[in-house]
Amino acid sequence: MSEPKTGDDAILANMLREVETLCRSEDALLCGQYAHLRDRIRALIELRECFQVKPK
Amino acid sequence: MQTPFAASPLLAHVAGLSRTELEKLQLTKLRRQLDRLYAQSPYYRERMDSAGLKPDSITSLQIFKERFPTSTKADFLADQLAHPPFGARLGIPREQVALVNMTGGTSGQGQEIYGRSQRDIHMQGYLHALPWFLAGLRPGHMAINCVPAGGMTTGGWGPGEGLRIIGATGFHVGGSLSTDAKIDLMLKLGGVNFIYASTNYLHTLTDALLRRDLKPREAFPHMKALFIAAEGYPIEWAQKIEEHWGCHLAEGYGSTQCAGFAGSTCDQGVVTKDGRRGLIHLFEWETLFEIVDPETMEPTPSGEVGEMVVTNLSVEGSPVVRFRTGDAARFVAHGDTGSGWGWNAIECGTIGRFDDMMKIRGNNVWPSAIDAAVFAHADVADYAGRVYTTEDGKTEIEVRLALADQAAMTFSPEQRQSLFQSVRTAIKERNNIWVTLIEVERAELPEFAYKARRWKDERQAGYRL
Repeated sequence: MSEPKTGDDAILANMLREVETLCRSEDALLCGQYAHLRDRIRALIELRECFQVKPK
Repeated sequence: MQTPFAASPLLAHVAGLSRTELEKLQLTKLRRQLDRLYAQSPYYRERMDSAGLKPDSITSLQIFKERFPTSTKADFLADQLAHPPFGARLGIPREQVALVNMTGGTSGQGQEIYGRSQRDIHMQGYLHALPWFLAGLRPGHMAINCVPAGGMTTGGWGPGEGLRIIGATGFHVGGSLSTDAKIDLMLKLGGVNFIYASTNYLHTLTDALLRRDLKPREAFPHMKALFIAAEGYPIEWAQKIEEHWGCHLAEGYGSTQCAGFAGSTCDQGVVTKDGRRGLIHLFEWETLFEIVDPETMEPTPSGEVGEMVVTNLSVEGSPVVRFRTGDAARFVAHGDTGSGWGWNAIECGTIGRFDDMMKIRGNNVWPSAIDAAVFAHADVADYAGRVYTTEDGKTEIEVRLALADQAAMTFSPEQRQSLFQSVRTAIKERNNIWVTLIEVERAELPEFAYKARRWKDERQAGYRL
Protein backbone atom coordinates (compact mmCIF):
# COMPACT_ATOMS: atom_id res chain seq x y z
CA MET A 1 0.00 0.00 0.00
CA SER A 2 1.36 3.45 -0.95
CA GLU A 3 2.07 6.04 1.72
CA PRO A 4 -0.67 8.58 2.43
CA LYS A 5 -0.13 11.76 0.44
CA THR A 6 0.83 14.91 2.28
CA GLY A 7 1.38 18.58 1.45
CA ASP A 8 1.12 19.55 -2.24
CA ASP A 9 0.47 15.95 -3.29
CA ALA A 10 -2.49 15.66 -0.94
CA ILE A 11 -3.95 18.95 -2.17
CA LEU A 12 -3.60 17.94 -5.82
CA ALA A 13 -5.04 14.46 -5.16
CA ASN A 14 -7.99 16.08 -3.44
CA MET A 15 -8.44 18.57 -6.30
CA LEU A 16 -8.39 15.70 -8.79
CA ARG A 17 -11.11 13.85 -6.89
CA GLU A 18 -13.25 17.00 -6.77
CA VAL A 19 -12.76 17.88 -10.40
CA GLU A 20 -13.63 14.34 -11.50
CA THR A 21 -17.07 15.06 -10.07
CA LEU A 22 -17.28 18.29 -12.09
CA CYS A 23 -16.32 16.37 -15.23
CA ARG A 24 -19.53 14.36 -14.93
CA SER A 25 -21.46 17.60 -15.61
CA GLU A 26 -24.13 17.34 -18.24
CA ASP A 27 -23.48 20.93 -19.32
CA ALA A 28 -21.81 20.54 -22.72
CA LEU A 29 -20.43 24.08 -22.58
CA LEU A 30 -18.71 23.44 -19.25
CA CYS A 31 -17.67 19.78 -19.40
CA GLY A 32 -14.76 20.46 -21.74
CA GLN A 33 -13.55 23.25 -19.48
CA TYR A 34 -13.75 20.98 -16.45
CA ALA A 35 -11.83 18.31 -18.36
CA HIS A 36 -9.21 20.92 -19.24
CA LEU A 37 -8.84 21.77 -15.55
CA ARG A 38 -8.69 18.08 -14.55
CA ASP A 39 -5.95 17.33 -17.05
CA ARG A 40 -3.85 20.30 -15.88
CA ILE A 41 -4.08 18.84 -12.36
CA ARG A 42 -3.19 15.38 -13.67
CA ALA A 43 -0.11 16.84 -15.34
CA LEU A 44 0.97 18.52 -12.10
CA ILE A 45 0.51 15.26 -10.19
CA GLU A 46 2.53 13.39 -12.76
CA LEU A 47 5.42 15.85 -12.89
CA ARG A 48 5.66 15.62 -9.07
CA GLU A 49 6.10 11.84 -9.24
CA CYS A 50 9.87 12.37 -9.17
CA PHE A 51 9.49 12.99 -5.44
CA GLN A 52 8.34 9.39 -4.99
CA VAL A 53 11.85 8.13 -5.71
CA LYS A 54 13.82 8.80 -2.55
CA PRO A 55 17.57 9.40 -2.88
CA LYS A 56 19.66 6.89 -0.93
CA MET B 1 -28.29 17.87 -32.18
CA GLN B 2 -29.60 19.60 -29.05
CA THR B 3 -29.94 23.38 -29.12
CA PRO B 4 -27.17 25.14 -27.20
CA PHE B 5 -29.68 26.03 -24.52
CA ALA B 6 -30.80 22.44 -24.08
CA ALA B 7 -27.16 21.31 -24.04
CA SER B 8 -26.03 23.87 -21.46
CA PRO B 9 -27.93 24.69 -18.26
CA LEU B 10 -25.56 27.66 -17.83
CA LEU B 11 -26.70 29.18 -21.12
CA ALA B 12 -30.32 28.31 -20.45
CA HIS B 13 -30.03 30.17 -17.15
CA VAL B 14 -28.57 33.30 -18.79
CA ALA B 15 -31.22 33.18 -21.49
CA GLY B 16 -33.87 33.01 -18.79
CA LEU B 17 -32.78 36.23 -17.06
CA SER B 18 -35.04 39.23 -17.52
CA ARG B 19 -33.46 42.50 -18.66
CA THR B 20 -33.66 43.81 -15.11
CA GLU B 21 -31.93 40.72 -13.74
CA LEU B 22 -29.26 40.88 -16.44
CA GLU B 23 -28.54 44.54 -15.65
CA LYS B 24 -28.33 43.70 -11.95
CA LEU B 25 -25.66 41.11 -12.78
CA GLN B 26 -23.86 43.66 -14.98
CA LEU B 27 -23.83 46.24 -12.19
CA THR B 28 -22.44 43.73 -9.68
CA LYS B 29 -19.62 42.76 -12.04
CA LEU B 30 -18.99 46.37 -13.06
CA ARG B 31 -18.62 47.55 -9.47
CA ARG B 32 -16.22 44.72 -8.72
CA GLN B 33 -14.19 45.71 -11.78
CA LEU B 34 -14.15 49.42 -10.87
CA ASP B 35 -13.23 48.71 -7.23
CA ARG B 36 -10.26 46.70 -8.42
CA LEU B 37 -9.20 49.22 -11.05
CA TYR B 38 -9.43 52.18 -8.68
CA ALA B 39 -6.97 50.37 -6.41
CA GLN B 40 -4.68 48.90 -9.08
CA SER B 41 -4.81 51.04 -12.22
CA PRO B 42 -3.48 54.62 -12.02
CA TYR B 43 -4.98 55.28 -15.48
CA TYR B 44 -8.54 54.42 -14.47
CA ARG B 45 -8.13 55.95 -10.99
CA GLU B 46 -7.19 59.23 -12.66
CA ARG B 47 -10.18 58.98 -14.97
CA MET B 48 -12.55 58.37 -12.07
CA ASP B 49 -10.99 61.18 -10.02
CA SER B 50 -11.21 63.61 -12.94
CA ALA B 51 -14.94 62.93 -13.17
CA GLY B 52 -15.41 63.23 -9.41
CA LEU B 53 -16.26 59.53 -9.18
CA LYS B 54 -15.34 56.86 -6.70
CA PRO B 55 -16.26 53.20 -7.27
CA ASP B 56 -18.94 53.59 -4.60
CA SER B 57 -20.59 56.40 -6.54
CA ILE B 58 -21.43 54.09 -9.43
CA THR B 59 -24.71 52.95 -7.96
CA SER B 60 -26.44 52.38 -11.30
CA LEU B 61 -25.55 51.63 -14.91
CA GLN B 62 -27.12 54.97 -15.79
CA ILE B 63 -24.65 56.90 -13.61
CA PHE B 64 -21.79 54.91 -15.14
CA LYS B 65 -22.91 55.67 -18.69
CA GLU B 66 -23.51 59.34 -18.00
CA ARG B 67 -20.43 60.16 -15.95
CA PHE B 68 -17.58 57.71 -16.48
CA PRO B 69 -15.16 59.21 -19.07
CA THR B 70 -14.77 57.27 -22.31
CA SER B 71 -11.36 56.18 -23.63
CA THR B 72 -10.15 56.03 -27.21
CA LYS B 73 -7.34 54.33 -29.04
CA ALA B 74 -5.41 57.63 -28.90
CA ASP B 75 -5.79 57.70 -25.09
CA PHE B 76 -4.38 54.17 -24.82
CA LEU B 77 -1.48 54.93 -27.16
CA ALA B 78 -0.59 58.05 -25.14
CA ASP B 79 -0.79 56.01 -21.91
CA GLN B 80 1.54 53.37 -23.38
CA LEU B 81 3.99 56.06 -24.44
CA ALA B 82 4.03 57.56 -20.95
CA HIS B 83 4.14 54.21 -19.14
CA PRO B 84 5.70 51.61 -21.45
CA PRO B 85 5.00 48.95 -22.40
CA PHE B 86 1.46 48.32 -21.10
CA GLY B 87 0.41 51.75 -19.91
CA ALA B 88 -0.87 52.62 -16.46
CA ARG B 89 -4.18 51.02 -17.36
CA LEU B 90 -2.79 47.45 -17.03
CA GLY B 91 -4.50 46.82 -13.69
CA ILE B 92 -2.45 43.76 -12.66
CA PRO B 93 1.21 43.47 -11.59
CA ARG B 94 3.41 43.19 -14.70
CA GLU B 95 4.78 39.84 -13.43
CA GLN B 96 1.26 38.42 -13.72
CA VAL B 97 1.07 39.09 -17.46
CA ALA B 98 0.98 35.65 -19.05
CA LEU B 99 0.07 36.61 -22.61
CA VAL B 100 0.74 39.77 -24.58
CA ASN B 101 -1.65 40.75 -27.34
CA MET B 102 -1.54 43.72 -29.65
CA THR B 103 -4.07 45.19 -32.02
CA GLY B 104 -3.41 44.70 -35.71
CA GLY B 105 -2.14 48.17 -36.52
CA THR B 106 -4.25 48.43 -39.65
CA SER B 107 -5.58 51.83 -38.59
CA GLY B 108 -2.13 53.36 -39.09
CA GLN B 109 -2.32 55.11 -35.70
CA GLY B 110 -0.28 52.56 -33.77
CA GLN B 111 -0.87 49.30 -31.94
CA GLU B 112 -2.51 49.00 -28.55
CA ILE B 113 -0.83 46.51 -26.24
CA TYR B 114 -2.73 44.29 -23.82
CA GLY B 115 -1.31 42.23 -20.95
CA ARG B 116 -3.47 39.25 -20.05
CA SER B 117 -3.30 37.17 -16.87
CA GLN B 118 -3.54 33.37 -16.67
CA ARG B 119 -7.16 33.84 -15.67
CA ASP B 120 -7.71 36.05 -18.73
CA ILE B 121 -6.27 33.38 -21.02
CA HIS B 122 -9.04 31.03 -19.90
CA MET B 123 -11.61 33.80 -20.26
CA GLN B 124 -10.29 34.66 -23.72
CA GLY B 125 -10.67 31.00 -24.65
CA TYR B 126 -14.18 30.98 -23.19
CA LEU B 127 -15.10 34.07 -25.22
CA HIS B 128 -14.24 32.08 -28.34
CA ALA B 129 -15.73 28.79 -27.19
CA LEU B 130 -19.04 30.40 -26.19
CA PRO B 131 -20.04 31.77 -29.63
CA TRP B 132 -18.87 28.61 -31.35
CA PHE B 133 -20.86 26.46 -28.93
CA LEU B 134 -23.89 28.62 -29.72
CA ALA B 135 -23.21 27.98 -33.42
CA GLY B 136 -23.11 24.20 -32.96
CA LEU B 137 -19.53 23.27 -32.03
CA ARG B 138 -19.47 20.50 -29.41
CA PRO B 139 -16.83 18.54 -27.46
CA GLY B 140 -15.22 15.98 -29.73
CA HIS B 141 -15.84 17.90 -32.94
CA MET B 142 -13.13 18.44 -35.53
CA ALA B 143 -12.56 22.13 -36.25
CA ILE B 144 -10.58 24.05 -38.86
CA ASN B 145 -9.27 27.45 -37.81
CA CYS B 146 -8.36 29.48 -40.91
CA VAL B 147 -7.25 32.55 -38.94
CA PRO B 148 -3.44 32.69 -38.61
CA ALA B 149 -2.49 31.29 -35.18
CA GLY B 150 0.03 32.58 -32.67
CA GLY B 151 1.88 35.86 -33.00
CA MET B 152 0.76 38.92 -31.08
CA THR B 153 -2.95 39.16 -31.82
CA THR B 154 -5.96 38.03 -29.79
CA GLY B 155 -7.22 36.31 -32.95
CA GLY B 156 -3.96 34.37 -33.00
CA TRP B 157 -4.38 32.92 -29.49
CA GLY B 158 -8.05 32.95 -28.56
CA PRO B 159 -9.25 30.39 -31.09
CA GLY B 160 -6.66 27.79 -30.03
CA GLU B 161 -7.59 28.19 -26.38
CA GLY B 162 -11.29 28.20 -27.23
CA LEU B 163 -11.14 24.94 -29.15
CA ARG B 164 -8.92 23.37 -26.48
CA ILE B 165 -11.14 24.20 -23.53
CA ILE B 166 -14.34 23.18 -25.23
CA GLY B 167 -12.81 19.79 -25.97
CA ALA B 168 -12.73 20.05 -29.77
CA THR B 169 -9.86 18.99 -32.00
CA GLY B 170 -8.45 22.11 -33.62
CA PHE B 171 -6.45 22.24 -36.84
CA HIS B 172 -4.87 25.69 -37.02
CA VAL B 173 -4.25 25.92 -40.72
CA GLY B 174 -4.48 29.70 -41.10
CA GLY B 175 -1.38 31.36 -42.43
CA SER B 176 0.60 28.14 -42.60
CA LEU B 177 -1.00 26.30 -45.53
CA SER B 178 -2.07 27.50 -48.96
CA THR B 179 -5.78 27.37 -49.71
CA ASP B 180 -5.33 24.25 -51.84
CA ALA B 181 -3.24 22.59 -49.12
CA LYS B 182 -5.98 23.40 -46.59
CA ILE B 183 -8.55 21.74 -48.83
CA ASP B 184 -6.34 18.67 -49.26
CA LEU B 185 -5.97 18.38 -45.50
CA MET B 186 -9.71 18.82 -44.90
CA LEU B 187 -10.47 16.10 -47.43
CA LYS B 188 -8.04 13.73 -45.69
CA LEU B 189 -9.58 14.44 -42.29
CA GLY B 190 -12.93 13.32 -43.60
CA GLY B 191 -15.09 14.45 -40.72
CA VAL B 192 -14.69 18.19 -40.40
CA ASN B 193 -17.51 19.66 -38.29
CA PHE B 194 -16.67 23.34 -38.00
CA ILE B 195 -14.76 26.10 -39.80
CA TYR B 196 -13.73 29.46 -38.39
CA ALA B 197 -12.59 32.03 -40.94
CA SER B 198 -12.79 35.70 -41.79
CA THR B 199 -15.68 36.51 -44.10
CA ASN B 200 -13.22 37.19 -46.88
CA TYR B 201 -11.35 33.94 -46.38
CA LEU B 202 -14.49 31.80 -46.29
CA HIS B 203 -15.30 33.33 -49.67
CA THR B 204 -11.80 32.43 -50.96
CA LEU B 205 -12.04 28.88 -49.59
CA THR B 206 -15.49 28.26 -51.05
CA ASP B 207 -14.44 29.69 -54.39
CA ALA B 208 -11.34 27.47 -54.43
CA LEU B 209 -13.42 24.36 -53.68
CA LEU B 210 -15.85 25.18 -56.47
CA ARG B 211 -12.95 25.79 -58.86
CA ARG B 212 -11.80 22.26 -58.09
CA ASP B 213 -15.30 21.01 -58.92
CA LEU B 214 -15.84 20.04 -55.29
CA LYS B 215 -19.27 20.56 -53.79
CA PRO B 216 -18.62 21.55 -50.16
CA ARG B 217 -21.84 19.93 -48.86
CA GLU B 218 -20.85 16.61 -50.45
CA ALA B 219 -17.16 16.81 -49.59
CA PHE B 220 -17.90 17.71 -45.94
CA PRO B 221 -21.25 16.17 -45.04
CA HIS B 222 -20.62 16.36 -41.27
CA MET B 223 -20.21 20.14 -41.19
CA LYS B 224 -22.28 21.66 -38.37
CA ALA B 225 -21.50 25.34 -38.85
CA LEU B 226 -19.28 27.88 -40.54
CA PHE B 227 -18.33 30.81 -38.34
CA ILE B 228 -17.20 34.15 -39.73
CA ALA B 229 -16.12 37.46 -38.27
CA ALA B 230 -14.50 40.74 -39.12
CA GLU B 231 -16.28 41.92 -42.28
CA GLY B 232 -19.66 42.70 -43.78
CA TYR B 233 -21.28 40.78 -46.62
CA PRO B 234 -24.46 40.80 -48.67
CA ILE B 235 -27.26 38.52 -47.56
CA GLU B 236 -27.36 36.91 -51.01
CA TRP B 237 -23.76 35.79 -50.48
CA ALA B 238 -24.62 34.30 -47.08
CA GLN B 239 -27.53 32.37 -48.60
CA LYS B 240 -25.26 31.02 -51.35
CA ILE B 241 -22.65 29.98 -48.79
CA GLU B 242 -25.27 28.10 -46.74
CA GLU B 243 -26.52 26.43 -49.92
CA HIS B 244 -23.03 25.38 -51.00
CA TRP B 245 -22.06 24.01 -47.61
CA GLY B 246 -25.39 22.58 -46.49
CA CYS B 247 -25.12 24.04 -43.01
CA HIS B 248 -25.76 27.36 -41.39
CA LEU B 249 -23.44 30.32 -41.41
CA ALA B 250 -22.82 31.95 -38.04
CA GLU B 251 -21.18 35.26 -37.23
CA GLY B 252 -19.58 36.86 -34.20
CA TYR B 253 -18.58 40.34 -33.18
CA GLY B 254 -15.27 40.44 -31.40
CA SER B 255 -12.04 42.35 -30.98
CA THR B 256 -8.89 42.53 -28.91
CA GLN B 257 -10.62 45.11 -26.72
CA CYS B 258 -13.39 42.60 -26.03
CA ALA B 259 -10.78 39.85 -25.37
CA GLY B 260 -12.54 37.64 -27.88
CA PHE B 261 -16.13 37.60 -29.01
CA ALA B 262 -18.68 39.79 -27.29
CA GLY B 263 -21.67 38.52 -29.22
CA SER B 264 -22.73 36.05 -31.86
CA THR B 265 -25.61 34.60 -33.74
CA CYS B 266 -27.14 31.79 -31.78
CA ASP B 267 -28.46 28.57 -33.29
CA GLN B 268 -30.28 30.54 -36.02
CA GLY B 269 -27.31 31.75 -38.10
CA VAL B 270 -26.95 34.94 -40.14
CA VAL B 271 -30.05 34.51 -42.29
CA THR B 272 -33.53 34.23 -40.78
CA LYS B 273 -36.01 31.64 -41.98
CA ASP B 274 -37.80 34.32 -43.97
CA GLY B 275 -34.60 35.50 -45.68
CA ARG B 276 -33.75 38.58 -43.60
CA ARG B 277 -30.50 39.40 -41.85
CA GLY B 278 -30.10 37.59 -38.53
CA LEU B 279 -28.89 39.06 -35.27
CA ILE B 280 -25.69 38.97 -33.27
CA HIS B 281 -26.87 38.63 -29.68
CA LEU B 282 -24.56 40.41 -27.26
CA PHE B 283 -22.97 38.56 -24.33
CA GLU B 284 -23.80 41.42 -22.03
CA TRP B 285 -23.03 39.54 -18.84
CA GLU B 286 -19.36 39.47 -19.95
CA THR B 287 -19.11 42.77 -21.87
CA LEU B 288 -21.18 45.86 -21.20
CA PHE B 289 -22.30 47.47 -24.46
CA GLU B 290 -23.49 50.97 -25.21
CA ILE B 291 -24.50 51.82 -28.76
CA VAL B 292 -24.46 55.56 -29.22
CA ASP B 293 -24.54 58.42 -31.68
CA PRO B 294 -20.81 59.14 -32.16
CA GLU B 295 -21.43 62.90 -32.24
CA THR B 296 -23.73 63.34 -29.25
CA MET B 297 -23.01 60.11 -27.30
CA GLU B 298 -26.77 59.76 -26.87
CA PRO B 299 -28.07 56.14 -26.94
CA THR B 300 -28.99 54.99 -30.45
CA PRO B 301 -32.67 54.06 -30.87
CA SER B 302 -33.44 50.47 -31.79
CA GLY B 303 -33.10 49.97 -35.55
CA GLU B 304 -30.54 52.76 -36.05
CA VAL B 305 -26.78 52.62 -36.64
CA GLY B 306 -24.51 53.72 -33.80
CA GLU B 307 -20.99 53.36 -32.45
CA MET B 308 -20.29 50.53 -30.05
CA VAL B 309 -18.73 51.50 -26.72
CA VAL B 310 -17.55 48.54 -24.66
CA THR B 311 -16.59 47.74 -21.07
CA ASN B 312 -15.01 44.44 -20.02
CA LEU B 313 -16.79 42.90 -17.04
CA SER B 314 -14.72 39.71 -17.01
CA VAL B 315 -11.13 40.69 -17.92
CA GLU B 316 -8.52 41.70 -15.34
CA GLY B 317 -5.40 42.46 -17.44
CA SER B 318 -5.63 45.66 -19.55
CA PRO B 319 -9.42 45.87 -19.31
CA VAL B 320 -11.26 48.48 -21.32
CA VAL B 321 -13.84 50.68 -19.63
CA ARG B 322 -16.15 52.70 -21.87
CA PHE B 323 -13.85 52.22 -24.85
CA ARG B 324 -15.00 53.84 -28.08
CA THR B 325 -14.49 51.12 -30.67
CA GLY B 326 -15.24 53.18 -33.77
CA ASP B 327 -17.25 50.16 -34.96
CA ALA B 328 -20.61 50.99 -36.48
CA ALA B 329 -23.53 48.59 -36.03
CA ARG B 330 -27.30 48.59 -36.38
CA PHE B 331 -28.68 48.27 -32.84
CA VAL B 332 -31.64 46.03 -32.06
CA ALA B 333 -33.01 46.38 -28.52
CA HIS B 334 -33.74 43.14 -26.62
CA GLY B 335 -37.48 43.66 -26.90
CA ASP B 336 -37.24 43.81 -30.71
CA THR B 337 -35.08 40.71 -31.21
CA GLY B 338 -37.95 38.24 -30.99
CA SER B 339 -35.71 35.93 -28.93
CA GLY B 340 -37.50 36.44 -25.64
CA TRP B 341 -34.12 36.91 -23.96
CA GLY B 342 -32.91 40.03 -22.18
CA TRP B 343 -29.88 40.40 -24.47
CA ASN B 344 -29.60 43.34 -26.84
CA ALA B 345 -28.39 42.62 -30.37
CA ILE B 346 -26.82 44.07 -33.50
CA GLU B 347 -27.61 43.22 -37.09
CA CYS B 348 -25.49 40.60 -38.88
CA GLY B 349 -23.32 41.38 -41.86
CA THR B 350 -23.38 45.14 -41.66
CA ILE B 351 -20.74 46.00 -39.05
CA GLY B 352 -18.51 48.73 -40.40
CA ARG B 353 -16.02 51.29 -39.17
CA PHE B 354 -16.80 54.92 -38.64
CA ASP B 355 -13.18 55.66 -39.53
CA ASP B 356 -13.28 53.49 -42.70
CA MET B 357 -15.94 55.74 -44.06
CA MET B 358 -14.89 57.58 -47.19
CA LYS B 359 -16.44 60.89 -48.03
CA ILE B 360 -16.78 60.71 -51.81
CA ARG B 361 -18.44 63.50 -53.72
CA GLY B 362 -20.32 64.46 -50.59
CA ASN B 363 -21.57 60.94 -49.87
CA ASN B 364 -20.69 58.81 -46.86
CA VAL B 365 -19.40 55.56 -48.37
CA TRP B 366 -18.48 52.50 -46.34
CA PRO B 367 -16.42 49.71 -47.97
CA SER B 368 -18.82 47.20 -46.41
CA ALA B 369 -21.71 48.78 -48.34
CA ILE B 370 -19.82 48.43 -51.62
CA ASP B 371 -18.94 44.82 -50.71
CA ALA B 372 -22.65 44.23 -50.23
CA ALA B 373 -23.45 45.62 -53.68
CA VAL B 374 -20.66 43.78 -55.52
CA PHE B 375 -20.94 40.39 -53.85
CA ALA B 376 -24.68 40.27 -54.33
CA HIS B 377 -23.60 39.11 -57.82
CA ALA B 378 -22.57 35.46 -57.66
CA ASP B 379 -20.63 35.76 -60.93
CA VAL B 380 -18.15 38.15 -59.34
CA ALA B 381 -15.14 36.51 -57.66
CA ASP B 382 -13.52 39.56 -56.07
CA TYR B 383 -12.68 43.21 -56.56
CA ALA B 384 -10.37 46.02 -55.55
CA GLY B 385 -11.27 49.68 -55.49
CA ARG B 386 -9.44 52.96 -55.46
CA VAL B 387 -10.48 56.56 -55.18
CA TYR B 388 -8.15 58.99 -56.89
CA THR B 389 -7.86 62.50 -58.20
CA THR B 390 -7.54 63.01 -61.95
CA GLU B 391 -5.11 65.49 -63.49
CA ASP B 392 -7.90 68.01 -63.82
CA GLY B 393 -8.75 67.62 -60.12
CA LYS B 394 -11.87 65.46 -60.34
CA THR B 395 -12.54 62.62 -57.92
CA GLU B 396 -12.86 59.28 -59.68
CA ILE B 397 -13.68 55.84 -58.34
CA GLU B 398 -12.29 52.79 -60.07
CA VAL B 399 -13.34 49.25 -59.30
CA ARG B 400 -11.23 46.44 -60.75
CA LEU B 401 -13.36 43.37 -60.81
CA ALA B 402 -12.62 39.69 -61.51
CA LEU B 403 -15.29 37.26 -62.62
CA ALA B 404 -15.79 33.86 -61.04
CA ASP B 405 -14.15 31.11 -63.10
CA GLN B 406 -17.26 29.80 -64.80
CA ALA B 407 -18.43 33.28 -65.81
CA ALA B 408 -14.94 34.31 -66.90
CA MET B 409 -14.77 31.32 -69.24
CA THR B 410 -18.27 31.30 -70.66
CA PHE B 411 -19.74 34.84 -70.58
CA SER B 412 -20.30 36.58 -73.89
CA PRO B 413 -19.48 40.31 -74.23
CA GLU B 414 -23.20 41.05 -73.85
CA GLN B 415 -23.43 39.02 -70.64
CA ARG B 416 -20.36 40.83 -69.29
CA GLN B 417 -21.88 44.19 -70.13
CA SER B 418 -25.14 43.23 -68.47
CA LEU B 419 -23.34 42.03 -65.30
CA PHE B 420 -21.20 45.16 -65.13
CA GLN B 421 -24.24 47.38 -65.53
CA SER B 422 -25.98 45.50 -62.75
CA VAL B 423 -22.96 45.88 -60.42
CA ARG B 424 -22.65 49.62 -61.21
CA THR B 425 -26.35 50.13 -60.56
CA ALA B 426 -26.20 48.19 -57.29
CA ILE B 427 -23.27 50.32 -56.08
CA LYS B 428 -25.12 53.47 -57.09
CA GLU B 429 -28.31 52.36 -55.31
CA ARG B 430 -26.56 51.55 -52.05
CA ASN B 431 -23.93 54.33 -52.02
CA ASN B 432 -25.13 57.04 -54.37
CA ILE B 433 -21.91 57.01 -56.41
CA TRP B 434 -21.18 55.91 -59.95
CA VAL B 435 -17.95 53.96 -60.40
CA THR B 436 -15.80 52.97 -63.37
CA LEU B 437 -15.58 49.20 -63.69
CA ILE B 438 -12.61 47.42 -65.23
CA GLU B 439 -12.43 43.67 -65.65
CA VAL B 440 -9.17 42.06 -64.54
CA GLU B 441 -7.87 38.52 -64.10
CA ARG B 442 -8.46 37.01 -60.68
CA ALA B 443 -4.70 36.65 -60.14
CA GLU B 444 -4.26 40.43 -60.51
CA LEU B 445 -6.23 41.06 -57.32
CA PRO B 446 -4.62 40.66 -53.89
CA GLU B 447 -5.59 37.73 -51.65
CA PHE B 448 -6.21 38.28 -47.95
CA ALA B 449 -5.68 35.64 -45.26
CA TYR B 450 -7.67 37.62 -42.70
CA LYS B 451 -9.34 41.01 -43.00
CA ALA B 452 -9.68 42.21 -46.58
CA ARG B 453 -8.43 45.70 -47.38
CA ARG B 454 -9.95 46.18 -50.79
CA TRP B 455 -9.94 49.98 -50.89
CA LYS B 456 -7.19 52.51 -51.45
CA ASP B 457 -7.77 56.20 -51.09
CA GLU B 458 -5.19 57.86 -53.35
CA ARG B 459 -6.87 61.24 -53.58
CA GLN B 460 -4.18 63.13 -51.72
CA ALA B 461 -1.52 61.85 -54.13
CA GLY B 462 -3.41 63.63 -56.89
CA TYR B 463 -3.60 66.93 -55.07
CA ARG B 464 -0.81 68.60 -56.98
CA LEU B 465 -0.39 72.27 -57.79
